[in-house]
Amino acid sequence: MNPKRIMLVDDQQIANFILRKLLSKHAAQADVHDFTAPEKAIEDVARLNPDVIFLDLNMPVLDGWAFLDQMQERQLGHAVVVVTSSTSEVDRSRALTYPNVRHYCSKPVPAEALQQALG
Amino acid sequence: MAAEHTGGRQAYRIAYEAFSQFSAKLNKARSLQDIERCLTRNLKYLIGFRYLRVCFGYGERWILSITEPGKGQIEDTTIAALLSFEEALLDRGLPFTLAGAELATAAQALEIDPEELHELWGWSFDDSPNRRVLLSLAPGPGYQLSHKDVTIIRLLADALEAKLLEICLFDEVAQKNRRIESILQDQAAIIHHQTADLEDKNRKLLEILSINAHNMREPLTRIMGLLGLLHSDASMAEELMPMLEVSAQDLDTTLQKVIQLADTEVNKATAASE
Repeated sequence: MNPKRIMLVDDQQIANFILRKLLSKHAAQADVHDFTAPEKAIEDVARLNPDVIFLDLNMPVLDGWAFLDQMQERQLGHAVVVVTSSTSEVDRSRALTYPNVRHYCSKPVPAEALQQALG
Repeated sequence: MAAEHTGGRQAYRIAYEAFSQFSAKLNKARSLQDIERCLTRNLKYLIGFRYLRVCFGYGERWILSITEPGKGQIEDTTIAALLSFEEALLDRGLPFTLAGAELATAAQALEIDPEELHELWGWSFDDSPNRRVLLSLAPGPGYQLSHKDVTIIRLLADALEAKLLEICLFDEVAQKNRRIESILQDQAAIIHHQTADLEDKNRKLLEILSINAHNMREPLTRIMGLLGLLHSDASMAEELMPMLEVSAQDLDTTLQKVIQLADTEVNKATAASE
């Protein structure tokens, strides 16, 4: 995929920080935009037109599921990699029912999983 | 004199054999009715009688047995329905024999034709503090009570007392068993209820755990992620340290919340079971 533009959506600033650091090794040339407010991030998807969105599930106001639903409603088919602290199989299966969800990674994200996600 | 002596010995032998048979039958008795049947059938071989009345008192229980030639009855009551001469017997404890007006009154009380009631003898046996045997006997027409008869009556009272006591004790044991069984059933019900309670409590705690496992894991994944970064580049230590601290604190806060929730549930369950 070798993405040029990446969006990070996680209400935890530190989680975004970690992912940004990891991406600086594996996708050094990419332009990374991080958001801790998913309700703002959804508004910027069309404008930023990212190659991939790293999306957390468990967030206040607008959780990952609602974010994915809104993307569908707005016909935004951007590739999404779900990155979550959940290890639940139920969450994994549910996430993969969204056609634009390419990968599902449990935190902490191992380097190999990230490379695979950036594929 | 010698013939009389021989006759006396023979009479004792016959009485002894009759009593052996009576005793063997009484031994097999398992109910009050069995006892009464035994008396109705065998008493006539022991003694020439018109009427035998035995009151057996054990604790609160009184068993009254009446035997007449060819018929008998037995009653099991908690009230001592004693006749006046039996009351006197119970009070004084001395054997008696009735005659004259007292005998006529007794005949009325016993519902016997006064013409048939020539004598009435009574004995009280109270070898043990918690039981009494009152035995009243009217000899048959023309029958003269002898020493031999008194010995037989004594043996009869002993045998009846032993058998009646055995039945009373059996009943007591059966009653206690029933009580124990009902207590056990109650306990089984309580255990069932408490088990259901515990299962409910467990389920709630598991729910709390499940709901919060995700919340707990979030700050933990940050710590793990930060440690991963630190591992690949030790020079980031200063930059990462405050983030590690915040994440560790977040983890602690989440854990404290879960502990508090679990405590609340346990307290609720404890209060409910008290």
